[in-house]
Amino acid sequence: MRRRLKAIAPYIYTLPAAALVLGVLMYAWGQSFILSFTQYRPMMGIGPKFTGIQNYVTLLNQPLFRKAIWVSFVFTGISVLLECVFGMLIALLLMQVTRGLAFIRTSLLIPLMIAPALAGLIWKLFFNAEFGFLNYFLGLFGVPGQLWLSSEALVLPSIILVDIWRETPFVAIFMYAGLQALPNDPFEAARIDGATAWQAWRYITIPLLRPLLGIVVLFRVIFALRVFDTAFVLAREGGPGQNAMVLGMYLYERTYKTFDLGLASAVSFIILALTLVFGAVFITFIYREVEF
Amino acid sequence: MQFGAWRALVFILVAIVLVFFLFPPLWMVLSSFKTQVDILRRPPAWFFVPSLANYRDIFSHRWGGGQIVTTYLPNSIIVALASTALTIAVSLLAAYGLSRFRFRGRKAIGFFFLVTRMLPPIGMVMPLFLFMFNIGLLNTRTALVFVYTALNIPLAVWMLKGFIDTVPREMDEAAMVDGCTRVGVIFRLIVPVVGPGMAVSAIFSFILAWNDFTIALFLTSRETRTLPLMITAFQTDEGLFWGPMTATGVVILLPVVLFTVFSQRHMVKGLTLGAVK
Repeated sequence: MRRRLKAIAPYIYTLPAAALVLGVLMYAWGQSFILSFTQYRPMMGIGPKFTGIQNYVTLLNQPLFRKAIWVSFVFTGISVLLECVFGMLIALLLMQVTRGLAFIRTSLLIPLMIAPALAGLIWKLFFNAEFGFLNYFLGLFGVPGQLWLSSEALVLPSIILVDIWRETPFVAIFMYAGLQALPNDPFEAARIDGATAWQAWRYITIPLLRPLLGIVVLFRVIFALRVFDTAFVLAREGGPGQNAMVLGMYLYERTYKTFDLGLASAVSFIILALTLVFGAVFITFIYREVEF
Repeated sequence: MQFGAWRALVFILVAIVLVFFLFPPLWMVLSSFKTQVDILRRPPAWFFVPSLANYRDIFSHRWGGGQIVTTYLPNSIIVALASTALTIAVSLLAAYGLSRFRFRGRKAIGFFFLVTRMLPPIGMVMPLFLFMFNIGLLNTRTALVFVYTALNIPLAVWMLKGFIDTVPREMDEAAMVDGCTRVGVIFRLIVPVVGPGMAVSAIFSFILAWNDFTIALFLTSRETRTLPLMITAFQTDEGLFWGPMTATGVVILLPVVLFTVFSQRHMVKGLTLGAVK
């Protein structure tokens, strides 16, 4: 009896946590998966009725959905790229700093910890075409005022700017931690051999940081694909010309405007599938790096 | 001389970076103390007579069908605290189990927590809505507590396991030889040693629940609305009430900033744990 208890003990420790995650998240995804193959519009008393892959076909034929995928890709690609470039530059800059690190660390963490919806609000105040700070600031340099969120051309760049503001610190913090953990010897050797700072960075720092950079990029991609809160506050219904219709916004519109829950489930699953494609790479990375 | 110029350049660049990240929220804080007239002033008012009118407004009027003191604030506090407590309790157990025992399926369970951490919440809201409706928990704080806990567990388990791994197993064994039970080991040995780690996990869990907008938007209505949803209440047919909106923003921001200021070092450690050796 005691022996048997000992054998199952480890499972008992993990059971409550696993049960909660399974019960809530996995149940939700399971149900979503099943519903994505049905026609289900409870407000109109339809279904759920099994319709095979009909929802997926409908979606892929819908120009607005294809646009949402495109917008999400542009949003993700540009924000993650710029966040990595700026994050890396900030991390390199911080390596030169000797004092005030606690204050700098706090300042970098704050955008990261602010609620995404609140970040939307803060920038809404900034972007306002009439009294917003941004137009005033650009005006000091002679740049004419822009419409930002009310402009078809600038609405997507605007929400990308907010994402860069919020998430660049994430990259900077990881890169800074990575830079600090680098061994000193290769740099010493390079210095003796007369390498320039650029060469040391290009041929020592980057290769050594590559695994970490990989993890950070994939992490950012996964989180950029699901963006919703900021877009909801800044560009409801996709903004002018629906040019900022990210996938999360599209899902909200589908769910609340038409209550077509089968179709909404299919959208959920496409977001999940995109995440998992990147996540698979992420996991093979981190799973090898960190022994769980 | 050249050294001095280099230091000055670094200083200026750091200053630019800090202004970029800190100024937007600071501008919101300033705006919350302005009257509507001062907010709408162009060019923006740097100097103005500070007013508490916006705060009085959000604390004394109903917005979006609820009072901040009787609806939004208590809902947010209860939900965030309850889900944080539940998250830490179950995650500590799971992290201890994964860290200390070698058993069949251990890797699979670790993998499970890793994968669930990546699931996009926005894709879950619709089925969660149906699920909570079916079990009669729609529009309850309980529903939010369960969802936030489930969302927080993967990260908390991952972080806590990292912290527990740094405590040598020999210490457990020594304590147990001295007659301490497993439960005793967790509470008397592990908890005190990984205290800062637990605090950071708790802070991250609290912030996720406190900040969430998406899930609460779908799962709550009037009486169960949380603080971030109050932001949407200021966009009315009569126009946008910037003053009260920014004041609400400051209320949401305050605990987050306090946590960040007091635990920044541990937060960075918790974030980068596992990724940097």
